[in-house]
Amino acid sequence: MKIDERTLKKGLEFTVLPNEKFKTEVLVVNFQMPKTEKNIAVGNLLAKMISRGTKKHENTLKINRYLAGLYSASLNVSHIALPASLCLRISCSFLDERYLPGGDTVSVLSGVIALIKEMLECPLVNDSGEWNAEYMESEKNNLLDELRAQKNSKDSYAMLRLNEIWYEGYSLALNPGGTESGILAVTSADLSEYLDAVKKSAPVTLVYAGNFTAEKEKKCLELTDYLSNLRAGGKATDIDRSPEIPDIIEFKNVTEETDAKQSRMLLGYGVDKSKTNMYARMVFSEIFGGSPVSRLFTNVRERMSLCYYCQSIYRESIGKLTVRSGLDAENRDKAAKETERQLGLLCDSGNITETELEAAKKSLINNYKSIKDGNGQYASWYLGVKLGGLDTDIDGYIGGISEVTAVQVADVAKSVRPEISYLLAGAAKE
Amino acid sequence: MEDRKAVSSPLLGEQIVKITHESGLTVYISKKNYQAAYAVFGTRYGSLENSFEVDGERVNVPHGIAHFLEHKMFESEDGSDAFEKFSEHGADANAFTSFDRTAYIFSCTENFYSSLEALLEMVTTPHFTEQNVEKEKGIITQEIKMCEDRSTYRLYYNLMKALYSGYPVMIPVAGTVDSIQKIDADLLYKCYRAFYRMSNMALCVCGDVDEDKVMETVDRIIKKDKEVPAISFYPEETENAVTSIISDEMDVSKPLVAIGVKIPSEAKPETLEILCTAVFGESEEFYSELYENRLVNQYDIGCDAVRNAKTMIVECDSDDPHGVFERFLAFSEKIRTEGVSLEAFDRAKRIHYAETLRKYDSSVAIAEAVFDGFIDGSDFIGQAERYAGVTLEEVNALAAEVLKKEKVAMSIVYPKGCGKETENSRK
Repeated sequence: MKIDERTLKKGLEFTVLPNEKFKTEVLVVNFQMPKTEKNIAVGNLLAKMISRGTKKHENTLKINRYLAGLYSASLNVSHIALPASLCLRISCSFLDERYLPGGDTVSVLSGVIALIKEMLECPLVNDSGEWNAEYMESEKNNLLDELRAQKNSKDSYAMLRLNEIWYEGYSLALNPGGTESGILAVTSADLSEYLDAVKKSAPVTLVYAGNFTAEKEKKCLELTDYLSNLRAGGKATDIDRSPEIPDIIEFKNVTEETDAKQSRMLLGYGVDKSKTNMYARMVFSEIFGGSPVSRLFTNVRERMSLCYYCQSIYRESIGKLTVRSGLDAENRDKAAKETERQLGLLCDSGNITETELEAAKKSLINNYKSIKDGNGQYASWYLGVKLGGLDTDIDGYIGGISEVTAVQVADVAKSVRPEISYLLAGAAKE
Repeated sequence: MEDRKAVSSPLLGEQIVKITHESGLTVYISKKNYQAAYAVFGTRYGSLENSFEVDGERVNVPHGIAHFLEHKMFESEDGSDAFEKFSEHGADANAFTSFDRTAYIFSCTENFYSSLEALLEMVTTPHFTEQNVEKEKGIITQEIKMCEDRSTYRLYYNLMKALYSGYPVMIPVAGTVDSIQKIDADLLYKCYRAFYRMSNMALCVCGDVDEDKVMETVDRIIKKDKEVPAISFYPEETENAVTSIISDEMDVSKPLVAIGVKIPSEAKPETLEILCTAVFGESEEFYSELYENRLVNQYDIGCDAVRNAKTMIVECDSDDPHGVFERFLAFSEKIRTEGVSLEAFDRAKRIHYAETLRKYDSSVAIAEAVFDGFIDGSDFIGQAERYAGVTLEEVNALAAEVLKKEKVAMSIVYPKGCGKETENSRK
């Protein structure tokens, strides 16, 4: 069944991803906000505050018990940093009512929608408009804890530091966890102002993935009506979906130390999108370092035994490629040189075998075909491409990938330019 | 002659076909019209098997050898890598090893039977040489270092050390950088012959597949195997925890805590899961009190069932690990004496009904859950019925038996410089 995309009014979109195969369904309400350092801190705290309690369910215990009563429905409020914008996202996953045990008539979808409305409409704010001060303080502490805990995972911390250094001065460099001073500075008025903007002017995308019956359509349209009424008189803000990225970034070589047994090497590259084909860029990354038969895996790992993983990750929305590997610090140059050598080899289409080209295409096509194998992953993929300004037609991707040639892949390799080499050097004492 | 029967869950309306192949291999097929099909081919052999008897000989092997063997199974005699074969068919292949199993897997949206053939051939034709074994040591050393940098890894294995005296769940699955240096091709062949016996193995398939075609592929590749797997030996295990507190230091921002309860091996998994959720779940007072009193932020619960080692675990971060531990012990004592409330019991049953149902939404989850059932001797298809059959009396009897101070231990990972405690100390 095809995607049903409806624009109900400017800035209010409702998409149905129909699928009758699964027992679990998904409803996501996504509000898009401008990306600023202050908004990151305020939005992160707001996400915690509205899921901490409502006037009807005053604390986490009551919310959790309410959701457990809806057959363990999950409702997660997150604040996500995209390259160019921020999203306050309410994601719900729940059983299709066809699968409730015999005789149980609880309306799971109605229950979930009621909680979404309560979170937006009736947060824990007193008559003077002040947010619960005790909860604010404890949730600020939780945000500070999470920010400080970023260093606990060396893999993700290295990636975070890479972005901060690579895109210094641009919104792409902003830490999605915010800053300590930013978190501490958030006031009750900031939360109210942000929630007001979310309700009245943020572009909204609703996604329902599952067995979409007429009854469920009615309930979802009641929710969209509610959201539409919230913004009566307010205009949807235009959000820039293209991040500002400098065209030419001067090469940076950075080493930082950490208390770890293994070092993390990250190499960052720019890809010229103006002269290359999008599907070829995807195939290139797959051949270069996207699978266990890729150039980086078979050479840096298997032939040279330098690491457990060496992979490339390509982000189409910003046209950047990252190679990541975990190794001993003294092997950084060997691994980096081999990475450069493999990149150089791919610049000549004659070095790209028919077998590896076809294998890369099949692997990518396999991934695209599998996206619909789960309502959660389908909704998540849809929102990712939609909010990134990319095409939402899976068949289009499959068709485009299947036509990529070795010459096009070599053109991508030729357009790749190194922009940063970063090492988070392990210096753990036993 | 193969034995073929359909097993079903009347509660969920689900069905799985179970076939005992003439080779001794158990095959499970779950037919689903999902885009991707998924297969798991694995053995009841994991990192627990460090001492065993095969061909009348007692063999002791280095820690991490089951995981090492898994890495080496991807190499063929002609020097090619099995990943190449899978990728030619458009399949994504991988493998994993844990305490009690080694599994080889693939998923694909086309060419299922040729990928299945590649999987069966790969796992039944080992090829180890001194050269390719040496080469792998560098790769696995980096995998071990990557894991050792993870605070959750340290937290977990320290908890196992505090709870278990002999059963080898405190030894990391991949071994250590030192232990893997002792592995050679001969030892790998010995382990392979000891545990990769068809009566010790299962193939679990889920997807839009044809049962007969799956079995034709199995018939073609899997030969009769009269050998039985080796007998393993494990050290004696004590009834209670070894020590109550164990701590360590790492580069973390605040203390991380794991509290474990040692559970008798005969406890029913579903009763244990319901007890854990009804007492320590996020819909219950224990968690709520910790969160509202700012004692925890991140929080998770779970039950590990590794053959004879069953453990209930609560993990969290906290600036006051001992405060969390005291509350855990006090709350456990309250439940042990007063029992779980009917409301909490009902909530836990609803949660587990939904979780069981959710597993049927993914070919990966179904095949792996079926494989889990093969490993631990249960059957996945009957899980919803088993959850439904658990009574409050059974849950309370288990609570009375296990929620005792002497069965509980806490592992703490402190930020560096915050002071490692001596074992068994109390603040």
